[in-house]
Amino acid sequence: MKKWFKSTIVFVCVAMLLAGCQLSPSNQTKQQEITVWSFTDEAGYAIEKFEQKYPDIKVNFVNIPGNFYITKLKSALQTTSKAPDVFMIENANIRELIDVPYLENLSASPYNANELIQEQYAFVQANEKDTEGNVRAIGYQGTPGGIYYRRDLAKQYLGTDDPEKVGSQIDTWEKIFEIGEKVQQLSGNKVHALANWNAISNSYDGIPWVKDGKLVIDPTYMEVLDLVREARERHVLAEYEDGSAGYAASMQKGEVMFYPGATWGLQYTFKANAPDTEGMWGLAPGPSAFSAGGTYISMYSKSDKKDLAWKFIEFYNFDHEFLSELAKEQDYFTSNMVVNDKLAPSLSSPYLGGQKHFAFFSEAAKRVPVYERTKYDATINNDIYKNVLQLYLNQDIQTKDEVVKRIKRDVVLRFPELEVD
Amino acid sequence: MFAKTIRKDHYGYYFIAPFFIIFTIFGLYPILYSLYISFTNFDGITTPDFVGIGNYVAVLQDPLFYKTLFNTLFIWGVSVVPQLTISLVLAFILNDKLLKGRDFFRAVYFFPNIVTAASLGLLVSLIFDWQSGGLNHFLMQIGIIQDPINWKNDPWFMRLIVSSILFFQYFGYSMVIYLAGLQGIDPSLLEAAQMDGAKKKHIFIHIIVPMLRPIILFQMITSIIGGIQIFDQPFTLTNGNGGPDRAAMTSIMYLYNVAFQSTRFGYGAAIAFCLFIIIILLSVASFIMTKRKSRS
Repeated sequence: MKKWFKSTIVFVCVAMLLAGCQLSPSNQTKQQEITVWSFTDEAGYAIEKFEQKYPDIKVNFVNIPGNFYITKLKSALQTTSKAPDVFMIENANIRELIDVPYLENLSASPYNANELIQEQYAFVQANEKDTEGNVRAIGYQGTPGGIYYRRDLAKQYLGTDDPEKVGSQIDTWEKIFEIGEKVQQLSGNKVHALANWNAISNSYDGIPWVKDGKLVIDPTYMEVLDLVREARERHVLAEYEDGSAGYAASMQKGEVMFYPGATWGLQYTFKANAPDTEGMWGLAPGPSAFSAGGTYISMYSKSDKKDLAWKFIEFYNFDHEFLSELAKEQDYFTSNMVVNDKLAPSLSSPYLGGQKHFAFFSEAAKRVPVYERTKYDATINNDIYKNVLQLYLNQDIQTKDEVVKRIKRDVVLRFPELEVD
Repeated sequence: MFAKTIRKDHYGYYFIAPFFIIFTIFGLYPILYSLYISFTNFDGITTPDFVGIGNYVAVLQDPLFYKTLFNTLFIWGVSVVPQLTISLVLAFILNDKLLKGRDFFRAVYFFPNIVTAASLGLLVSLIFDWQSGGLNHFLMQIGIIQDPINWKNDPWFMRLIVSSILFFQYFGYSMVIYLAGLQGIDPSLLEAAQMDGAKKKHIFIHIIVPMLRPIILFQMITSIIGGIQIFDQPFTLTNGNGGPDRAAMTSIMYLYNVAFQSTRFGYGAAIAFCLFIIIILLSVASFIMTKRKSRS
């Protein structure tokens, strides 16, 4: 009796276990599938259009927002079975990952991406190639920057809100500082020219810190130190911390005149933070051409669906029909120069007072400096330099010699493999 | 009537097995794997190379590690001393059966512990914001200051703010633990002391504190472990960057930044094990000190 009871229990348990392991029913429709990972949901639109164009391919989209995306992606790429076929990489991480062998070489046949990327802006192309010059990621997003300004404040303090005229009044930092002093006084300290020191320093992000395995401190970084100190002393800065509630509110309230920002800022920063100010903004070129952020697509080198994965990557980056739709329907500025140049005369933004923003960004993108960035640059710039810059700005570090010493010390600690004088 | 020998059946093991299986998979294995990683230069994607004790040597030479350790100990020390003393006094007062509204105050003092650490950090961050913070607006409106003060720019102020948040959050919790300990003290002892003419102050110093020594030891050790692991409050308060010159960056924040922001898992794991050793040393020291005091 006892034995019979035990055997029954064991049988039931085994049966339950096996029930969970049964084979899934065979796919009658023979629809093929690929998996795409991203850290934002913006790929959703592209996937929808892709599936419409290729109904026999299903895209399983996994969106992992937040800081853990890159950690999860790295561990997934290591475990062959769970890795996505296609994945997005943010600009901050692209140079760190570009030489990793899990990224398929897209310069090779049958992709031959080198020819295709000629349609893209030069600064985007520079990030797409590994240290041997092979394309390993393709950036679909175009991220040139400009100065977003409040038209009402420009009219009041500069006498015009015309983008060209405003642009000529803010083409050097000195001119912006002079305006800043004036508006601060006239408004009784309520309006400032810039939100914070990032507005100046971010305009120079991307200048490389490392060349041939050696730390090289570009003189521009030292000039930025002077600029941020001067801006604070002359009350040009509203001193709102980036991303703070006050910073967001300043856009709606009209407390800051100029915000340097990239293409995506229109959707994700200004429309999000100041939804009731449609028509009150303009775009003008600032003292320096720059780009900020960007998203790149790569293919997993061990994927067994490389043909499908490439179809998706090619669609997202080089399908002119789709890219035009993306630009028109989502107001999305892509990295495809050919498409943007075609759209430039016709697309305008009601939020920017009807300004032809694609024309503006198309021109701005061609002026963005092209840098050969290394895997060290993002960390040195964001973690080391920006930290020391704040100390210098707050007078906790007095001289530039101390700044240089501090940067060198931190670089040696963080990257012992680099040569530092 | 009774069995002559003890039945040594193995069924007992089945009952305790689930815990050990789960602990081995989700507790022991990750710990041992982290230990292994700490001897490599694992960056999450390339094949890890064995670097021996290289990471540990680097940690011991890393000024930022010592700085974050100092920050942690300072923040912990400044918060834990008032936390453990004020909560003890409060527990003693609220243990008085004749006190009116004591249940109300017990609940009120415990409330801050229910609020999540991250929200408290964020709330305080908003209050002390330079340009849009509530405190500066208030001080300017009543005319104490002319221009807003950049509170979060002062390293020492930042550390004190984190300590205050921790104190605010945990004094109620410590009070409840003390209250539980106070229930275990024989009332006849207190009554005898009262009959002998002892004042409340004397009862507190000569009876309550010595009798609560095991509870105080428990509080000390748990606060050391919790103190070294301070993370949420300074993280949200400083947007994860540790504030001016990383003044409010705690050791665990540094570990998090190294391991999960810079994906230097080997170095991060070495920091974790160094902290583990520090926690053990501090716990042992605290245990020995409390024992010695109780003997003397």
